[in-house]
Amino acid sequence: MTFREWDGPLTADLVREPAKFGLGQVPSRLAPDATTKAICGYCSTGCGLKLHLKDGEAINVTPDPDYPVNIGTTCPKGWEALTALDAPDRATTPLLHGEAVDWDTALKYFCGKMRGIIEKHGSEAAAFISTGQMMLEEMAYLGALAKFGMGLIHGDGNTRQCMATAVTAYKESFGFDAPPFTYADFEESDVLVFIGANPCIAHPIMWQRVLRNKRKPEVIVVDPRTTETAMSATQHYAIKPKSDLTLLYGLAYLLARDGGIDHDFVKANTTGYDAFASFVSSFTPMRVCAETGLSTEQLAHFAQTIRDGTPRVSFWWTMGVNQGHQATRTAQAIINLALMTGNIGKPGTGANSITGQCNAMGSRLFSNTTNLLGGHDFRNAAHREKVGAATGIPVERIPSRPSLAYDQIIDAADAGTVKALWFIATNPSHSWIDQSRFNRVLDKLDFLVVQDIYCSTETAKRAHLVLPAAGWGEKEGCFINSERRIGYSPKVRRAPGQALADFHIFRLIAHYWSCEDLFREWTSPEAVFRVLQRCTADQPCDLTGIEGYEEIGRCGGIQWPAAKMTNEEWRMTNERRLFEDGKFFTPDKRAKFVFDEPQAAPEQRCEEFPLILITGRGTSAQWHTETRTGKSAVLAKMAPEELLLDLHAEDAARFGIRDGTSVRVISKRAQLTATARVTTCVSPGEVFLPMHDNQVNQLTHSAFDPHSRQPAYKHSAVRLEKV
Amino acid sequence: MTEARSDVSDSSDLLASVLKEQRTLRTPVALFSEEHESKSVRQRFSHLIPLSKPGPGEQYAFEVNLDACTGCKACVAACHSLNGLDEDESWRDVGALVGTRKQPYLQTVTSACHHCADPACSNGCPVLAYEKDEATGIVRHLDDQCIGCSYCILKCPYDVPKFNVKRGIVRKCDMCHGRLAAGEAPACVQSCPNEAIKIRVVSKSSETITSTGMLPCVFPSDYTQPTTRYVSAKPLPTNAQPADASRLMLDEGHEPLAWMLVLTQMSAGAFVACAAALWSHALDLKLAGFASAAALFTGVVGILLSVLHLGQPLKAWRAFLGWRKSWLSREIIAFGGFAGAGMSTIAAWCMSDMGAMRLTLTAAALAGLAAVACSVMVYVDTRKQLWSLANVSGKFLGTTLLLGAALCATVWEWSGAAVATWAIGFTLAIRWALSAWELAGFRNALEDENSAWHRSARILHERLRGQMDARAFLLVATGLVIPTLIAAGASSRWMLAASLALTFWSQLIERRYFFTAAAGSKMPGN
Repeated sequence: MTFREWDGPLTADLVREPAKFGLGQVPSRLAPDATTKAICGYCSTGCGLKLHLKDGEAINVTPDPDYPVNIGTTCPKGWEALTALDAPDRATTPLLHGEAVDWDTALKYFCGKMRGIIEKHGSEAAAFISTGQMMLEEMAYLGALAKFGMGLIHGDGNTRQCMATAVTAYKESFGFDAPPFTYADFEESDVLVFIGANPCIAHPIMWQRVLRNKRKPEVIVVDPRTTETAMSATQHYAIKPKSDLTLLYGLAYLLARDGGIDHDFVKANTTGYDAFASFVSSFTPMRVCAETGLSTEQLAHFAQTIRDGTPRVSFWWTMGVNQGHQATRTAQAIINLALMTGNIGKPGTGANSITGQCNAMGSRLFSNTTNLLGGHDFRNAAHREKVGAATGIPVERIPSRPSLAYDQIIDAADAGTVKALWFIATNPSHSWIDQSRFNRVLDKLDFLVVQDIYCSTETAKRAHLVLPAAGWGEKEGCFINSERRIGYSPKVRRAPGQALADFHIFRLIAHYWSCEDLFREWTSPEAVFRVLQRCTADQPCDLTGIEGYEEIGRCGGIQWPAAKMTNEEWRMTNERRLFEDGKFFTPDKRAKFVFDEPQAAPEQRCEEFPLILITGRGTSAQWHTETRTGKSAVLAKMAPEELLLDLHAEDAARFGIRDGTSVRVISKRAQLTATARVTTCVSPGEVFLPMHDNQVNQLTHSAFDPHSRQPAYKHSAVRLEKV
Repeated sequence: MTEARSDVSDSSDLLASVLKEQRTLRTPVALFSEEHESKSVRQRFSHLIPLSKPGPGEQYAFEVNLDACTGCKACVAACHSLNGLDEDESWRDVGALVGTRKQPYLQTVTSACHHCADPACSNGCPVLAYEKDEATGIVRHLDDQCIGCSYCILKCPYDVPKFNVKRGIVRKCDMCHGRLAAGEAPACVQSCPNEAIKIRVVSKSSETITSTGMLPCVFPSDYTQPTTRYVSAKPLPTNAQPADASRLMLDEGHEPLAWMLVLTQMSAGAFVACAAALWSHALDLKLAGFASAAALFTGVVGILLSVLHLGQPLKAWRAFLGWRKSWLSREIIAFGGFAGAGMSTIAAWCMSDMGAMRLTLTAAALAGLAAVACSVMVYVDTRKQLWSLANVSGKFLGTTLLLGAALCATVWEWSGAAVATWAIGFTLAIRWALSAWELAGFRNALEDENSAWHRSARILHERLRGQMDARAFLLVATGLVIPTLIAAGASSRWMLAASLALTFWSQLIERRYFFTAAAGSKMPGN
């Protein structure tokens, strides 16, 4: 018995010891016997993670110091990547009407029911919704199986909710869905313009690259809210919600007027500039300031900063732009600014869409939903021939009609023409706009299948059949990140119970559907990767030069294009941007100025609903509908315990609401109760709710960009009542 | 890559093969595992930690560059993962400072233990479970020494130590001392994408520490001398407030402590009342004996209940170790003495020695008062604003006198002593006086925004209204209804017993919100 116990079992719990593999000290009980590398399965930053293995199984995660994306750091979600796999509500067995069944029963039921619906109502009566969360080999298998094997016409992805706008804008302006940047551009810019983006919270590791910029850049943030990023910026323009398009045209006007145009570049490499210049001539500072709420001095300073920064101005946007009622034109207005000033194809430039999900970029090329595999067009017979040859799928099995978009599929289900829906790795009962209506539509379906790693998601709870999937870390394959970097992620965990990799589930369905002969080569993710490589031959996203997974891992990821050529220049550097030669992917190799007259947002303030509700990310520790981040107790600690409504002090005074009190937030569609957080981070007349709460989308007004069909989450009218 | 068989035609074979494949993990070699990173942890973060160890009069300290902290909270997750902490445990936290309507402002703030030059946690620990390392200044917690009394949690003005329910002890940041010793950066320093957290060597002198570095809106540095420095190229607005400043949160309740305080105070008060009555020649030996026995029983129950508060009760025998600095140690010693003195009154009673009874009762009363005084100091020493000397001593002494008199009144009434009448009168007087004092204090604090415990008063008013109302009801019942019923001829024995129970209940409610409405200070939250 001693008076002071310096050691003992409780002290031993926390002992750290030097680990091998350059890791430094680690907790003794988590000492690894090997390590391997993976790509984080949350966002499109695509951080490299180092997985600590014991007996082949991952027991801990640290960021990979040698990966060019994140250089040894990652956000809390990456640190907690493994925790989501250990949750007690993992789906461990197929569930048919809530009852556990074996795979054989589930698959026979799935095929029988789907076939029955298709035979009775036609191939348009069943559709699938893919995801940006799977490996690209899996999403390609899904798209190929559904469209070529099962003969479905309609399939879309949850990427419609985040990236459809950027896709549509790039395709029209550049001739291909081609985000031109590399993350090094964050460090190379003299001016960085962030529009509708809050990277401090949503993409912290990209923000790391901004802070590594040694050129003392001007950082401009355009956001109605004073976000963490806005606070860290050198200029913040808190415009009225959804006046971004007008602002961008107003900037184009000032740049054109004051000699900010790179005429040589415009002349040599673009079309439509003259029409654009005459179009923006009506966006005078007076008009723009009236519509955006900025002063003429602010507007002039903004334009001047772009002029001064040229040719090292980069423009970055994300959901604030993409989720708008005129999102595509807004994204193109950003592209126009980059084109007219010649800020493209050079270090520190670009009109750059920051992507959302870890594999949204993979989905854009390989989900076989909107595009035919490899960024091809279903309507184009030559493309169908090419993909048929590359995949070995008989060309007559490749549909010549494109799919309906997500919202159109839901409308069709509402109208009763779509009878069966199959959702894979997505939770739209929480995340889809005007959620209550969406769920009413789901309840009409004859057959609702949800394939997910949890049986507890809002969508899975409504499903007739739940197929239990293995999660990130329990399967292998590739992701493509925001800067077009393909990264490989290995299998380092055993899935619980009967859960299977989505890849295996698709193989099984192909077998039970008796179309497995079509997929004879599709035996493993890497085999599928080889098929997909062939599909990309001669496309802007050519991947034919990549040797395989081993090379991807060894090189720290490989950006596309990576074509098979004699002088494979792309092997020389790991940071590549597009359009350095000024040649775009349009038939005439010129980028196009695309523009349209701005429209008012469809739901405006009125006497009954005097406030505009903006939704968005809450904290860096939360991901979308929180099916995964919600499983980590340490991530939960980082988010507020209650749903907080951000409300300006002026409005709080106006409605007699005190900080911390309960308020009812009411829209035309629904109401919810939240705790008021009185702040100056939103402007008067605007309120903010984080999208992670499962009620928030009951309030949102259902509107869509007409070109990208992306839901416009950021502009709904609400009123507040004291509880 | 292992490829699954492609020639499986039979469904059950295929199912079995994919299920088997799903359960198979590949060897690290097949996973392209790498032996080493290009640079070791030591090399990668050497610029974020000091080149040399602290010299005499110096110690390690965290330095946070606010301009680089943008709220990603990677430090919180890394602390958890790299230190192998429990599910929801992290020794770092991130909150925010916000401005006002006229001066908008938003700044995220990461914080961990400040490794104070004069650590309150350590000074308050009854078992010396804290050690401020001589060479590094790191305030380490000795997990196997800790008895889980949570007093350090009450003592720390930055809410740093956290109780670990599973283990029954407190755990806190150790600045990854082993990593620093090996030339590696602490977990949080390693994890920050923007290099916002660094380790610096600072002077331990109180002048340097209290004059530099801390945030404007947190507890004044002159108490514990926290060493963390927050730096920024932009001056912080003086009116910046924690983002959660107006959220009224309830503090931990400490139910066993509430019971212990009320019971031991009742016991001490009863001994005081007994001694006073004995010296006034209003009691005979037997009556004094009865009352002492009741007082002792109450006190011992109270002391035993306090053990329930400990996460590691078997280690509690060390609780005297901290007597030099810790009021909790002193309180525990004082209650030991009080229990001994109380028992000696029983011995005197058994010996039927009136002289010894007088002596031991006086000793018990004085020991009881001394122990209550230690209890007062236990809370005053935490420097919480609700727990000012005036507030705590008023509440504790008031309870001592009120419940002591009420207990004696009941015991004497049941044993038919005339002095009971005096005790009843005294109980009533103190009941009303104490309530009036409490209510006046509460009203003042609620109305005066600058009052030291305005926040506590708001918590009482807005979150604990039910408890306030219950006490008002109990006041009317015991201060008005029961005396009236007794005057009207109801059984005074039963009425007094009921009054004692209800008064006890009322004081217990007060003691619960003494803790829950304490509104302890902390670092900015969200």
